[in-house]
Amino acid sequence: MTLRADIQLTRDGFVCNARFSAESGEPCTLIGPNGSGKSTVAAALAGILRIDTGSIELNKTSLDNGRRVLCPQRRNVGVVFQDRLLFPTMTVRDNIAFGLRARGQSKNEANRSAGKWLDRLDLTQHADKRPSQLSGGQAQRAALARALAIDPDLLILDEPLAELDPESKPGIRRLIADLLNEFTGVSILITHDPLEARSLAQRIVVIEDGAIVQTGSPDDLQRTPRSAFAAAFVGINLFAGVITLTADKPSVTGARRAGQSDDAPSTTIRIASPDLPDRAEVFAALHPRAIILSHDKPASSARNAHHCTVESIDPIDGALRVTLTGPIELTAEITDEARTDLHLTAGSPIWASFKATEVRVYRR
Amino acid sequence: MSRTTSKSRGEGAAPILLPVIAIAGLALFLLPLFGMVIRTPWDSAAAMLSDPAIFKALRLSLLVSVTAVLLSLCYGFPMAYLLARTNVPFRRLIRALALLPMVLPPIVGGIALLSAFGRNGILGPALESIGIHLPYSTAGAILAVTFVSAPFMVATLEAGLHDLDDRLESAAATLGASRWTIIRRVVLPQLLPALLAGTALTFARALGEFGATIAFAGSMPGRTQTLPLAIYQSLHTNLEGAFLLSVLLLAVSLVVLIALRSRIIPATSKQGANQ
Repeated sequence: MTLRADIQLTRDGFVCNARFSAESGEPCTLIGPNGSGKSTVAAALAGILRIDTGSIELNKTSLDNGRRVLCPQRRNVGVVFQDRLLFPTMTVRDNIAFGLRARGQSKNEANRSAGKWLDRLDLTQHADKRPSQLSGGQAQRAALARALAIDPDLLILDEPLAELDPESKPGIRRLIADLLNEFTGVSILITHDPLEARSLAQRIVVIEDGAIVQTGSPDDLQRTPRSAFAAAFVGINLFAGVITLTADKPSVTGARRAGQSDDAPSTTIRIASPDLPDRAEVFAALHPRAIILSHDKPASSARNAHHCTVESIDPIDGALRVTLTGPIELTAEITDEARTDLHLTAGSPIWASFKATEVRVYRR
Repeated sequence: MSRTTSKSRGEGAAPILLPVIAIAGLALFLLPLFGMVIRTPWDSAAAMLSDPAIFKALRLSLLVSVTAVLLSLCYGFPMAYLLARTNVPFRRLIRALALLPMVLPPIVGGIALLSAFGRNGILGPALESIGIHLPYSTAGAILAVTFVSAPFMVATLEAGLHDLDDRLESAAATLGASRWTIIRRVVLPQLLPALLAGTALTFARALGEFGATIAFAGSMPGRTQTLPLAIYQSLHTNLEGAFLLSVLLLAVSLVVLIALRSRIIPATSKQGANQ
């Protein structure tokens, strides 16, 4: 099954022009900053919003082409909404059976199917409760069950972990991974949680300002992020600049952090000999672990070295992320021991160096 | 230190004048009710209440009010839904017209009804030709009372609909529910508090209706003479009877208010917040 979406619409001054596709068996993750159009895309796919022009096709059936629109009722799209939107006046069982009843199943039939989902999602003992009596994790499972019970062709999960407390997140994340593995239709997960994207995604679609800026596997995104948001999402230092081969060593000149305007101060980054011509406009990506911090200026000339100031130090899964300012803005990743050895605190002056060969360069 | 304490006290309590005015005003409202209760001839109450004329007026009042509430529900929900959930053109104008009877003097409403459904009204002759005589009939009284009280239902239900999260209705649509199913299974169950509040307000307004009824339907015992009209008539002939009937209406109003108190108060305050 294939979803082909070319969503073009304008709502309240926001322009969405998003073109992407997704296949069954290959969970697609839509990431993007707040207000980038993720929810607009979800609403258009579900039929809650109509597109102005473009097309949405699921399994070769047109859902919307700007003129003829299939109403949400006839799309067979299951949506797990960010704040769940369980029906407050119904029990959990009735919530799950709702879609089946709406499809004309008898009460008994619908309840039997709902029972299977209650069982599968470990909700049987909560079947007769109202949504307001459920914990966040239970409510999220009920919302998943309600969307899956209709056996949708397209499943949309809108930030399924966003409103959960930290304790219930890992469990629901694993559950969603399992459910997506079993799911035979096309699935789209919307998130801005990198961990969620990495553990669940096979294919990532990056949306910014209503447009798709990059599509690829999590590895692609990690290797060659193509926007400031994508780079921050995977935790990579990303610079935009121009290849310069005329100097004594190949370098990227006019390098600024991706997303910064042209009048921001720029720097030069030494690189290994690229397969790209002189003056090519490129991104330069650098992993935070490739950056070495030291008090003395490194001697080797094969290294880029910048004298920086520590702006902040934040813990991230088992390591420390050091944000540096100076001639170049960098994020470095160091161990706790390294921090103790270097006596690093916010405000410390420090040399940041990295090998030219650690910088990945690719066309913008 | 002492300054902050006195400041916080000053912010927490209202100026002394406000509660004084409030309590004095409330006393002014309660005094007449109290006077009415003590001037009621309780010893002859049983005899008066068993008077078939009073019984008829009471029964007619309940019949007219309950029917008016039912008609208001039938008209009020579609109108509220139209105003709260659709992009109908001229929505503000439609809302203003639908709520007009709330601010219209009731007797003007009665005259307006006469001009539409009276013997020489716009639709009067046509209705007459198929055997329907609205003026001076019980049906006419019901029409007059509905005309005046239905806007309360519309306003309460529209406010109730605005308080609901309409994304729940979108969620129901993605699950395949038709518009009717959504209304029946998602909207109406959530609207129950507003339906109860609207029913109470509409019933209370209907029970007290006087002006439109007397103008359009007259004051015919057993047919169009509801309790307020009966009270008005006994003012001239039997003042003590008027007191007794008034206390009866007061009691019915209190019962409605108390029975639905917990529902009405939050719902009506929300309505205020919305307007």
